[in-house]
Amino acid sequence: MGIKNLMKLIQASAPAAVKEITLKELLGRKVAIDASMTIYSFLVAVRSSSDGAPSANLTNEAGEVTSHLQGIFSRTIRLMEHGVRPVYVFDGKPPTLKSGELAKRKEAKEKAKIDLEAAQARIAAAGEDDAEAAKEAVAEAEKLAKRTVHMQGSHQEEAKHLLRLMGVPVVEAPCEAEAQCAALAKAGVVWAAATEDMDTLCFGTPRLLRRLTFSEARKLPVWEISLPKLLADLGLSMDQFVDVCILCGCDYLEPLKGIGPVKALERVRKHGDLAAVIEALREEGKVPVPEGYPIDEALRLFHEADITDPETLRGDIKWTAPDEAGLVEYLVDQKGFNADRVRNAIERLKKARAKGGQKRMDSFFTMGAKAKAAPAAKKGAAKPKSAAAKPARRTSASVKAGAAAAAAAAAAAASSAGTASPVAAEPSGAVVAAPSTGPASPAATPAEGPAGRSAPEAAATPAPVFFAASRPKPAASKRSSEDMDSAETSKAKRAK
Amino acid sequence: MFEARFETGETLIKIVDAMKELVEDCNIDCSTTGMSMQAMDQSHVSLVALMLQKEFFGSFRCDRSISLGLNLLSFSKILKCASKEDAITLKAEDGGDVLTLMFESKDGSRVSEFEMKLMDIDSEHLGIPETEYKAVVTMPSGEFQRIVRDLGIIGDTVGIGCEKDGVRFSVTGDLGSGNVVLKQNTSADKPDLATLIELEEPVELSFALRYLSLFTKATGLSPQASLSMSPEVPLVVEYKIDDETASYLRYYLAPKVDEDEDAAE
Repeated sequence: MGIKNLMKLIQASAPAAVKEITLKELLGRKVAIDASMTIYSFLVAVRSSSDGAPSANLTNEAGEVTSHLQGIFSRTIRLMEHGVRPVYVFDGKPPTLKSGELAKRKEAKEKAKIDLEAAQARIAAAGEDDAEAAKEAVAEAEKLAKRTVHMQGSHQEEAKHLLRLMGVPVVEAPCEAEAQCAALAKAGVVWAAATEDMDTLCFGTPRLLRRLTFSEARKLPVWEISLPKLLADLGLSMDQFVDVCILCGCDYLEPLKGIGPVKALERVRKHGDLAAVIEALREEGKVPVPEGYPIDEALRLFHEADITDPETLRGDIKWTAPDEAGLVEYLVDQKGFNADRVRNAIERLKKARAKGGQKRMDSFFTMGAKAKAAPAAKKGAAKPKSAAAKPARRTSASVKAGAAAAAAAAAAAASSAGTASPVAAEPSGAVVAAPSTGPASPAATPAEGPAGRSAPEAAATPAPVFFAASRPKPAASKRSSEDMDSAETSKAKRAK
Repeated sequence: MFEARFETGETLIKIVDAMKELVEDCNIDCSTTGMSMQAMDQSHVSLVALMLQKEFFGSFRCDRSISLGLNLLSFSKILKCASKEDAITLKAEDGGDVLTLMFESKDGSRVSEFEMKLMDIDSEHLGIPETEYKAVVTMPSGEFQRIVRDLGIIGDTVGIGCEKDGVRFSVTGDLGSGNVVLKQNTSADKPDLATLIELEEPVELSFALRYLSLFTKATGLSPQASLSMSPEVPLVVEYKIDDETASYLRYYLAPKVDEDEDAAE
């Protein structure tokens, strides 16, 4: 599951990249959730316990497991009540290189099953005479039962059906869900990827949220891990970071004996890249490297993951009104949920949806440099906080937004930030007389907000600052002045 | 070295009370021009901006720009130790980690001094350029507070529609609906009670009343409040702390957008 001990490495070597946040801070944020991981955790965690017996999954009268539905239903509503907008991403086929890992997991499950049967036999044998032994056996059986949890295809299908009834978007990844989550976040279709799987960072998500779907009762804050910050603090390039992760041991490749996260980091820093590290290890001969150790294959899986182009999914990701009758029919009639509880939950879901309309401040004003970098704001001056803008990146984002006005703004942005770049205006073919005087140029319209969103790193980079002051092209600027997300959603709805 | 003296300490107390429910921790930036602060609430839906020009103070000295990281709740608790008429002086050494508060009673017979630990706060600073708004309504601050309170009984979202001759606040909720219309009203003898509307084009926007209600904690700071609006941008509610020196407390609030309406366009 993920990269071995990567979280420990991050906490030790780049603690600033991890931020503890509350759900409140995620208001209005779109988040891609790794559905398989979440369903699995619900199957393990959502259990009923009756006295004496080992706890079991929730089931309906027919004995079908419903833990995953209960989990998805209640936690999704809780997220939405905090204004979070979840997108669930499901796994497709596992990559072939993962088969070794998968076989190992299966073996562990088989073993747990046999042990479980033994434990159950002991519970029966202990009977009432030996309460102490029975208790022990029950505890062990419970632990083992959790290990034997097996997610079936039907669980996934049921979860998809439930989410669709709730009006929550579902994405089916061609291969690994975490790769798709990362791609969506990277393209700015969503704000972050949410999973416990640290692989997602290797797939390039700018932000990873952990513990998002954990129970509130556990009182664990959500962790927001920032990739740009992580790379900066570790002093690695993205490619090098992936190399370190492969050395630590990922789902695709066994770790080498004697190489842990700390050594992996040291080695990559020393030798530059994975191939060089392997070569050096072979030469030294202390760490045995198996023949044909498939590093290229593993690298390819991370760098060229099998995903659906996020841009084609943008239009499909929208939140619709829940199908109330459908939910009651499915959950109450088919799955045996309590009718009152389901109805209450639907009411909460409807209320939560209304929250979605609240905009965030940062979709209008752009994050500048830290307050300390600038002397106290003079009244009313629009101040580019730094000249370190990245004209190229911004331009590509603006052109994607498809508005000439946006490109004009980008040009003005570049010029007022003191990095006047002719490149900025060219790609869109717009002829722009970028005013080179004062920073508060009237042509400087919105583009900033969405541009900052589409270029994930831009948030971490000090950027010049703009605000929708005047709007020379109402139609174009209207789109871009809004949160990119909602603009896209509305476009999709129009198309429909 | 930083030193700023509030001749009427009450103003500082009111400012802190007007911010503390919206913002937990914030950096107060002190420079040669004065004291300023900018912070967002936890959900990043609203923003508070404070500007106190150096002329506003009884005396002001700031050799080098510094940021004072404060927990507003603690700050407010310490300020409670001052009497309304006291003059309050804030002091901080360059690179120091405490803020000194000195309260002096009016007749000079009582002087108390408190030290408060400063914090390192990682704040996100948004750049807000000066903007021409399409509609600016200036009204008695008490009137605004009352409207927000009254409409809050009915629902959680208020629509503010601004037209040439008046501004309409409307709300719909489970109980029913309601609206309040304020007409332009220029009473020359009582300028504090006037309602003025400067309009370039009509504007209609929706906002969460919960935040507006927190904004009205600043009512005591100024007899008048002004609401500035343009289509699809945040609302600005401004309370002038001192008109002559352009010192103010401003609140920004991101609008609510009806998503279904979006699709219809």
